[in-house]
Amino acid sequence: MDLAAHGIHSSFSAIDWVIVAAYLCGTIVIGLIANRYISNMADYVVAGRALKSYLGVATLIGTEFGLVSVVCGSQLGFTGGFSAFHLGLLGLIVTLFVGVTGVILVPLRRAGVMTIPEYYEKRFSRGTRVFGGLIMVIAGLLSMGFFVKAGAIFVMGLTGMTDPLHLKLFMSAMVLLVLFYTALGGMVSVVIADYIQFVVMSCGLLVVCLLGVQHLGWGTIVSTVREIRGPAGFDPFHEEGFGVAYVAYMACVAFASCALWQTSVIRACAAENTRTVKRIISTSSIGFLTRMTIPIFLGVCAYVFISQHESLKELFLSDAAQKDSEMTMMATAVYLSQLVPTGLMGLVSAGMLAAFLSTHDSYLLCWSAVFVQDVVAPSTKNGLSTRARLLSSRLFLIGEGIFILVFGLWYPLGQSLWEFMVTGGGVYWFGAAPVLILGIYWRRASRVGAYLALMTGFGALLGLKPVQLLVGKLLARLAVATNYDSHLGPSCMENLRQLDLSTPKVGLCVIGLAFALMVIGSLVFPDRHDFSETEVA
Amino acid sequence: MEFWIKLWTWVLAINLLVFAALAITVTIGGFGNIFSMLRSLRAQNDEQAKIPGQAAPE
Repeated sequence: MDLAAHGIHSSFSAIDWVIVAAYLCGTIVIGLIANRYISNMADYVVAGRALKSYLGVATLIGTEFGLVSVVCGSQLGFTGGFSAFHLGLLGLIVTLFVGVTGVILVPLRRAGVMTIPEYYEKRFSRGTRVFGGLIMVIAGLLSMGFFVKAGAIFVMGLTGMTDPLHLKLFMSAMVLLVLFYTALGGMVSVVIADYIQFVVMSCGLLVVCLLGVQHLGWGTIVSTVREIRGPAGFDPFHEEGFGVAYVAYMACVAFASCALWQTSVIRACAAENTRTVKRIISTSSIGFLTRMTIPIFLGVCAYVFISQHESLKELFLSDAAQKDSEMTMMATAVYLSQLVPTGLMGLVSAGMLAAFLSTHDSYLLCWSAVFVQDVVAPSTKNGLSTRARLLSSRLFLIGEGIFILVFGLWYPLGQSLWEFMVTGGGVYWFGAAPVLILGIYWRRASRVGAYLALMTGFGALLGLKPVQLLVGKLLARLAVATNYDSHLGPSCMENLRQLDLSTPKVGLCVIGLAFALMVIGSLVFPDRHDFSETEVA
Repeated sequence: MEFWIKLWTWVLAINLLVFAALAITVTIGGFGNIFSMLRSLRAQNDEQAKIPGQAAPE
């Protein structure tokens, strides 16, 4: 899409490019410096467990508040209005609860594990560790499959570069940069880069929010949303908006984000002691609120701004554009490119790129560490040497980079980015929720129950729109092959072909099923060993 | 609807204020933590280097 042809020009200039380039060079230097401090796998994965509170908070917020969160949040704000704020509020309440009580995370830290699958081995068996680790890596990579493209689309909107070739070049350059410094410095370079990102990003976003309010006016923002979206623009339970099932699903997502997701857990595992774990998570609850609230607000501002400009309105608010995920992802970037002045634009873009990098580095590092520590190493007879682990981890990182590059270019999204991410990640956490919760707090939880729950996680795939279409077509073919189509009727067959299930309802059903199977499996097939000695609760 | 408008207005306002305060605190505190972490890593590495034949902790 050529924005210039529609009379839309970004305020991004040469000065802004210089600021961005300076930031990127600084990032490479950090990778080189951090490499000098890496001598073993514990240094590489959990920074030698030397993470203190402030840095822990910065790195946790830096990871979870990435460019992808900005794109997701702004897309939700653009399409759903203020009612999308419930995601931030749930993030705050749930993370605060986890931080204050220390539920799941304190027992994990006390167990001295680096990854969640490592806990599976202590509690259940080595096989559970390998299986759980593999599922975690698959889900992690799937959930971040669209990260690069989403980031690239946003930065293109910000800079005004709209050539498809620019998109591919930008995606490739970013992946190479992330791989370079993550492979080089591991967790040490990740936490330092996250800290810098936290500083740049917080300043940039706070300024942009204030600029939005100053430029559009709070009264105008509220009245425009009220006028166009009605109650659904504010009330998250409204059936024309998100609805009750969506909010319930998001409460589960908020819990998984802070207590089950490996990138959060790894920071708890890297903390000095259990008190620091609680402090880091409690303080980070503000970050979990902010990572959704500010981007959502920017999305709402973009919606109001675009509705006031005819050329933009035609481009972004038509029925077709509202259903096009890539257009709704780009809308806020285009709004910022019109609002933010030169110079500040460079700072904001550097912040966005920093956010892009810091999420990728943590995620890539996390999945490669899990793959090596929990899948490869336990599967080998004599284990792996430190050197072999570091080498395998770095090789796997390169594989991950290639995967996210190819997946982003190939996969048809067909739903909001946020829904895609939580559903892709759901392959892991829908099953991990019962395995961890019951594994820690229920003595009778067994290995068979854990396997059943982990396998159930694959049901999350039904929440992805392309998978639904594929399943629908297969079911329709099956109905035709068995002559059952005449019983169903033409309209029912068409619905089957265009299968459109509610992602939140699918998610809630799969979570419920995973818990049920964990309980049933544990009761019917109890473990022969007594795990009371390895119990960590 | 008025309830939600009021709620979201307060949520956003308080969030911006608290996040600004958090950003300042973490920026200052985190700076010191970086040096502390690097010192600790260097000390651990030196300690390992002193013990011949000692395997690196995993």
